[in-house]
Amino acid sequence: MKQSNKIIFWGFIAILISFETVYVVRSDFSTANAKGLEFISNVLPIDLSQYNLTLKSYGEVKLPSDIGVNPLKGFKKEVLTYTLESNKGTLEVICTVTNGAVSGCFLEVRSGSVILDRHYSDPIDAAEGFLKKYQSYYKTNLADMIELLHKVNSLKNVTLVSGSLKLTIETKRSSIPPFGDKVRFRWTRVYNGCEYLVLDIGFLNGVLHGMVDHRVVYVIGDTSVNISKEQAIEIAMEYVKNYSYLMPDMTRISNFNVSKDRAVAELFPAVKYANVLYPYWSVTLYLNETYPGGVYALLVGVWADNGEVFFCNNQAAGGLYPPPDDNTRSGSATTEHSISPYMTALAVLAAITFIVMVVIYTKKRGK
Amino acid sequence: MKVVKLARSRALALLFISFFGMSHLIGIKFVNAYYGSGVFCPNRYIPENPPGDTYNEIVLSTYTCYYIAMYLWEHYYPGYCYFYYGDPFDGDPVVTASTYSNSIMLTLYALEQSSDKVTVFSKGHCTPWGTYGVHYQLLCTFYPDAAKDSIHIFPYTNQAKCRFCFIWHCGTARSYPVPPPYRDVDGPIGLPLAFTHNVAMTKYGTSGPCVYLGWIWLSPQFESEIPGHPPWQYAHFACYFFYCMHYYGWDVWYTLNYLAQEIYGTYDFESCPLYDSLIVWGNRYMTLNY
Repeated sequence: MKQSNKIIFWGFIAILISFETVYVVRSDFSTANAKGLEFISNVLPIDLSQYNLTLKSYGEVKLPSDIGVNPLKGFKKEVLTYTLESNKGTLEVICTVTNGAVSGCFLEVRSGSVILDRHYSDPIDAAEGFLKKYQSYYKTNLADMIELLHKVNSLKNVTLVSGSLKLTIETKRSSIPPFGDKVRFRWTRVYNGCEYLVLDIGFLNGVLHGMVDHRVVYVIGDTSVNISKEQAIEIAMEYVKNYSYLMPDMTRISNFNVSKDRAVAELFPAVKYANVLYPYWSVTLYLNETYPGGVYALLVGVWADNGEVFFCNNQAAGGLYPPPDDNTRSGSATTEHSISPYMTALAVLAAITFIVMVVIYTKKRGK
Repeated sequence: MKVVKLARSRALALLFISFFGMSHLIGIKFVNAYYGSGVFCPNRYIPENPPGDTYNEIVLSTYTCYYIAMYLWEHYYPGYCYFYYGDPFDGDPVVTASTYSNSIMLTLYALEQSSDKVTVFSKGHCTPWGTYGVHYQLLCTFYPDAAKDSIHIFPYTNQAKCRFCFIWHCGTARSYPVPPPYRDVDGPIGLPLAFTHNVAMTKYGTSGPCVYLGWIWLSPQFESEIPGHPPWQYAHFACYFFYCMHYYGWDVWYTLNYLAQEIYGTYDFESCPLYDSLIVWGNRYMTLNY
């Protein structure tokens, strides 16, 4: 094939791909947008009839694939930002759609006040209202979560447990205007000492501020914890005997002097495969000295069911350690219509640019 | 030392190509003012004198900073985008103190000269210095030289155009706010002041023309996994931060809240373990289009 023909051929392929991409994106977008709108209208405690809703941006998260292990592998993340305007004020709502379900949202009052769908007596009432709307929307049973909420007598920092369900309430008062009074409700399932996040919601000055739902993203797998904390530390200690890492001059750093007394092991859930969570021991082995690379500890992941080590990682920092006593650480009318011309324009721009390039190339060849 | 200054002709070609890559995004806004950006990654290579960075850290931080530079370049096109990194691997000389210091000061100066506004990201190490130990210096690739707040940065940002700064080095949020007269025998105090020339930024504030992000103590290395949340690494956090700010047009606060949800499973940043470690001085509602 001649060089010019090759260019034309690949150019057409590029144009076809770009058009195909546009349609795929539009299809994906429509589904995600529908989910976002459903969530806003059915779950958020606002009187949507008073608001003019506009989609501000949409995007599918695509992190670079060559930065470590891609944590989003297997998860399709779509993010939609909406603006809701009323005569009382402006809100912005961010919805995260993971694998087709709304897994998170964040609501920010940009100006004025919020027009709620009804009066809520306090954040507990608001939380219950949210749960009821949420279970109706997802057609799921959140009765045990609501029941646990009923046991809260007054708004204060408290942890309640009922069976495997745990509710933690954190309150925070602030005189600084944007912070305001915050109340956080966090429901987790506790199996064999490992906490699996169910739902985390927060209210700012009585208005829903954000939520994260892991039920729609992850599946809890085998919750067995057959390895004790002490065993996990032993396994990690044994593992790091053969662990090493490389320095830029190609020397290997190994034989770590680990302080077993300061070893910390905590149970967390982690994805073992697909979206299935298993418990693992996160073992932090503090080193008795800082090793090359600023490495002060080794973090070892040990599956709690079978004791298999699935990662070992350097914990390193740049050289400024806190003193021991430091306590500071401690109805969218415009959306669908506005997109089509934009995406089409991109494809047309691509086509025009390609044609111009071909013409220039052909003229140059003709000379 | 490698310096990448994206030439306009090449940039145009890349912009064309990037349209295909960006077709999964809707609602992108382009900026009107002339913005410049500088990304610094002074990887450390000090095998005989720890803490030099590990091999993996150097590779990971260089890649991550490259992506951050690309996001900023794409966002601020046709503004200048400088990307500096120390590269001990391919036979190039490592970044010496003078080159880095000179580079950073010349870069900041050049960016302020040629731009209306300047965004800076830097990743590396930092230590205190000065008579009272309240000054901070960004360590260079080669010990013991460093870019000192009052000597190598403050004088070259005197147009106060560095209004969006994220300095991912240890302790870079310290020595702020600075009481009058804002200096001691070693000159103007602290990196927030040195970069922004702003003395009125408040912690996690909501107004003002500047935002400065830094770490109160340890700045985690990019290769470190975020405890309890494998396989997330701090490299992902930094990259995701600029990804969201660039592609979604979010402000700092939205972005931090979103990352808290995605990585830590807490509904907002204030509930996440990084709060009060990763400090935001100034206007947290600033987007990249400030």
